[in-house]
Amino acid sequence: MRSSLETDKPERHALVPGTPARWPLPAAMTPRLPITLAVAVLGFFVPWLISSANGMTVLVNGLLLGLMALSVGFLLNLLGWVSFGAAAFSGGAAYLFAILCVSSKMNLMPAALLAVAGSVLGGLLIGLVFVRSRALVFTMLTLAFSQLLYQVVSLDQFSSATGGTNGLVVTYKGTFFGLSSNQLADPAQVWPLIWAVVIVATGACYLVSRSQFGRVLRGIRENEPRLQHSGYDTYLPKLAAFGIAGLIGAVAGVLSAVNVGFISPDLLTFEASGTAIIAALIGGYETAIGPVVGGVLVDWAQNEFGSTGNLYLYTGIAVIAVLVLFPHGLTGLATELWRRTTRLLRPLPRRKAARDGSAHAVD
Amino acid sequence: MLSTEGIGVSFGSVVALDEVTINVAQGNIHGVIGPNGAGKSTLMNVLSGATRPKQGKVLLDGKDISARPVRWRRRHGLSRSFQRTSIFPALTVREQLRLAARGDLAEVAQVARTFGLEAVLDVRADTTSYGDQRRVDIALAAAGTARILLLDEPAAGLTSQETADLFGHVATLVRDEGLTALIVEHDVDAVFGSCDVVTVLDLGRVLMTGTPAAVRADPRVITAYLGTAA
Repeated sequence: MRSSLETDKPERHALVPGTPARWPLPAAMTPRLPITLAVAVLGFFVPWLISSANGMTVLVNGLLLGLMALSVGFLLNLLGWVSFGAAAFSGGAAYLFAILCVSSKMNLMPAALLAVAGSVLGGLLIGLVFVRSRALVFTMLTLAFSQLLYQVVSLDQFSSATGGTNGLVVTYKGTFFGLSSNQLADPAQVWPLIWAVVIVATGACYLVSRSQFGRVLRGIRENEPRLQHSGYDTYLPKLAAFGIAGLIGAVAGVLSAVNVGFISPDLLTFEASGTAIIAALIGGYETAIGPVVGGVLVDWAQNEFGSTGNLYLYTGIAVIAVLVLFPHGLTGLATELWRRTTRLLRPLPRRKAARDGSAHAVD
Repeated sequence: MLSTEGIGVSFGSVVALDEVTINVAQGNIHGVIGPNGAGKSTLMNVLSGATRPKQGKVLLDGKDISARPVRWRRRHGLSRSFQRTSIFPALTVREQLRLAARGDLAEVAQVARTFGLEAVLDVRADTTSYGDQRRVDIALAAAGTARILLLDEPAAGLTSQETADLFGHVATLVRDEGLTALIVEHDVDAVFGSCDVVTVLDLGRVLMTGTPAAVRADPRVITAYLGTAA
């Protein structure tokens, strides 16, 4: 055991060697930063690369699924919670948006903002109760709430507003970030808007996970009683995390309604949340970008599998294969490959130091 | 500084603490010893706020804090470690010390150095040795706003050398940082060697409180706990 007794009293503000500065770029991120920025910028030019309208539709839907998966992955990664509430947030916001546009004749932009705000507020209200629960109970509560919403929007009594089981065509007036209704319905033209939202959302999730707030959430995930004994309130951070997940899901729902122009109870099904969870797992929820990658891949795969008539068979096989072979998802696999490659490319003395267990040499 | 007045706790028909009154003076290392079931860990739980006493008071700086929750007590300087190591397994040592120190990197460095944890700062806590994990547990208690350390069997599972080092770390904190420590421990040699005052609990009651020498020589303590040398 190392003892500090023989040493002089350390200086109060002396930093341990290797301690990062207060606002560091994480060591693991540094070599990836240029690549991340390049992908973010080049992503805006995707419509120039893909001429097929069907291909662009799949990509746009994939990004929207990716946003829902990001909402799921955020809670899964930082709190260890499996939420079936993604459909409730997303579908709830889409319905609210549609009702405001169709029944209340509200303009597009204020309707979208109100729908997102309303969905998040509703989420926080149920969160007041839900986040007090243990992980499994939380999962079942979110599932129950989604199913409850599904039934409510399907009821005949509300069909004049919701369209009942037939769904509702969303007609709206005004523009959305300068895009008209025709442009919003065109996958190629709406792509830059959705891509920008995805970048902001993933970037925000990344920064949150690296912040003290993110550490508090991971502390709750690891040992909540201990965190309380360290002087932390654990209830409000959990509620805030639930609200952030709800915000991401609500934005995905409104963007989907704006793009597709149609809503139906299918948005609130158990399957919708399940697909978002699958996307988060396939992409890898331990990274911010993983759920988005998973969303695009899952949406693409489901289109391909669906065309064979054996959607669930092939989906099941693919999910089992990926999760068994790559338990950290595809971005987890990519991260591991990157780590091994950079280790191989590292100069020999540093490699030896890394093997010898010097954390600072590894970094 | 920290005291109790007539604390009583019972679980059903089992009386865990009965009229327990202790007084922990500022700057002291105060040991609590006693056989299994004496109520030592219950006393720790009462002091840290995890258990609410059925009778009596807990006083901090003369103010009744009996109704204050765990979080409030921690923020006002009452900080504890656990009999069973309680850390954040999947976080690195640095991350959890940053949590305990509320993001203060200088504090992290200070605590890491005091407890000899520099070499494992960037290692996941659950992959470190048991001795390291025990020290992380106590370092978590010592970081941040801690004024009084409540250490529940800190030496459990450690070798005699590790125990000596650990008590040395605590002594350093008390001497150099002006902390106060209340240590519940079975290793009586470590307690007698490090503590200024020792309280002996037996069957939920205070048998005696005094200096280590006085406690070691007391016939009641010898009969109830220490025994006689063969």
